[in-house]
Amino acid sequence: MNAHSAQNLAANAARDKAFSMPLDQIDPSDAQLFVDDTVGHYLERLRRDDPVHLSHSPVFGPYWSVTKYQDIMTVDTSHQTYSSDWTLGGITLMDAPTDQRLPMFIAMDQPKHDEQRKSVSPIVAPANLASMEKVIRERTCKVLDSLPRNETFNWVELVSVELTTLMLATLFDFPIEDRKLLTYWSDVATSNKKIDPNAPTPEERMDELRRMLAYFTRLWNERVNAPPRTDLVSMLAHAPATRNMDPMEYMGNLVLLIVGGNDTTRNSMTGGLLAFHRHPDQWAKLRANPALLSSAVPEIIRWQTPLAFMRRTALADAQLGGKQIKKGDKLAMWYLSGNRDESAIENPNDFIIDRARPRQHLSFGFGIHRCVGNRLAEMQLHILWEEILKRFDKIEVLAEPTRVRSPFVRGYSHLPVRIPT
Amino acid sequence: MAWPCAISVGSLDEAAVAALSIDDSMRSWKQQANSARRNCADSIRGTGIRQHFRLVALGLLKSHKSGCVEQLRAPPSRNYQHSFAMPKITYIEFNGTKHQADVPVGTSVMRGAVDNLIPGIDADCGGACACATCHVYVQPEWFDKLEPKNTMEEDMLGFAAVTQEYSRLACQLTVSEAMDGLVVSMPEGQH
Repeated sequence: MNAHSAQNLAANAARDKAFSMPLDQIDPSDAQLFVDDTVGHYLERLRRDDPVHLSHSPVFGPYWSVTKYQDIMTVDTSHQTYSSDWTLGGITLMDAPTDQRLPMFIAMDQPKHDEQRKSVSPIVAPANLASMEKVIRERTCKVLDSLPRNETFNWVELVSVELTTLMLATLFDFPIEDRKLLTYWSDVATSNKKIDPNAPTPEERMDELRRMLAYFTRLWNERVNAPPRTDLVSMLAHAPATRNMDPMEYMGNLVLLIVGGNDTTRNSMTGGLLAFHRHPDQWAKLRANPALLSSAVPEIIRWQTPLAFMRRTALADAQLGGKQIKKGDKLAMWYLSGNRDESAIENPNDFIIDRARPRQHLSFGFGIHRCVGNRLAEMQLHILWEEILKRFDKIEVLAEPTRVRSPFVRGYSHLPVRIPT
Repeated sequence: MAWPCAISVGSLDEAAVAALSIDDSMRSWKQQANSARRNCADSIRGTGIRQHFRLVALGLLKSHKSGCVEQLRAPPSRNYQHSFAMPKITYIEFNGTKHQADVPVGTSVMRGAVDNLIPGIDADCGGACACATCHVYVQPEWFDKLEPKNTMEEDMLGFAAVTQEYSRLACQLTVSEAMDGLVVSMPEGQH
């Protein structure tokens, strides 16, 4: 039996399991389903049989899974009913002890969310994006030109992590030689001992985040008394809505900006390569017509869905998809599921780089919390693939990726590849 | 974006019609009517009921291959005549390029741009007032004539880049006959 048919057999078995399991046992937040990449089958089952579904997770407790595109859109745009507030649990399913909860604007409601978000959003305004293009391209070229040829290497490490970390260092005007700290802090911030036994304990995690805060406090102090500049630290230090933040709020917003600018695009950079590997016809199509990159990039982001869900907490009783949601209930909007919902997206399981309306996907969320850096992310991916097309006919994926043990960050730690000469 | 660079006023790409979003059936039907009308534009001249009869006649004459036949099968609307009203809206790109489009009453200013492949409006969310990527500047003299913004539009506009006094989200501007002659211009980028 060849590897491919063995894989198909395993996928069919996984699907059968998902479709034969009693509904009340289905819990898409089980991190193992992400390690095995089988969560899609369970989400497909829920879309069919129980689109708004109550699970009792051993880790997160009871929560609703919202799995259909339109229901997700409803929750995401009803911020008066469905709160993101960090004191209620914020945007992930974990209800951490109060001293480990971090205030950050993605996990705030109006009006404070709006004020803080507006302090940093100019960094990705159209004119600023245009001015960043050159430096992103130079770096991308440099990274691609330095890749080994004819030998196996980890795409995640040498391309995805390197490029997103360099980007992040630029956005923060962070000392470039220390940039690996940013990746490290990003991983620490999203780690969860209850899910991954190898993760730091909550205390170790907070200690590390305090070290991050100390480093960034030095940068803040350098910049707060200097004239305003267009890096994120300077912007936070000068904007009226953020210049008086307490240290925990600064820490929280740093975590948000580091994870938001790092983990997401990183995994779309790897996911894109995997998608083309599995759909060689689409790679051929793109090579024949590089102009298709404009739709290929949002399609990569849909296909990958680097953040699988966002959580909300109901502020009042509400009806959703025929279910009665009670005040205080928590909900996971499974973007990963909405992005595979065939009632909203045609042939959602296929990777089609020239689809109509490619940007109509949920990966960035919708409503007031929609990803602030979405056009920057698209630009990074666009440049990456543009430069890959100029250089390499083919990048061989040599084995299945190793996936991150998290139901939230849908990511990769390892993808062995080889670029033939 | 790989947009066709020159779009003649009033032209309509079939792919754009096929790519109609999952709007409510009425809106989508109106767009089909729009498409059918355009497909038949060579043969038909006229408006309102008179045109309707011509279309019926044409539908009977032509075989079911024609887009017009689809139109005849569409559910009749109480505002049937209104659905054919096509106010002219002018869209000005950031680089100054002007496009004029006939946009059906009841659809949105956003749809008018997207369905006619006019660049500069992204409309990521498809018209749910959820992404602020159909941001336009309304010509000042038009601003007070339009329906005022609701809270959601205010909230979302808050996140659009480079907003001005006369900023609106085009998906929230429902086209009415009174909007014939409306001029909107596009910002440097939709974010």
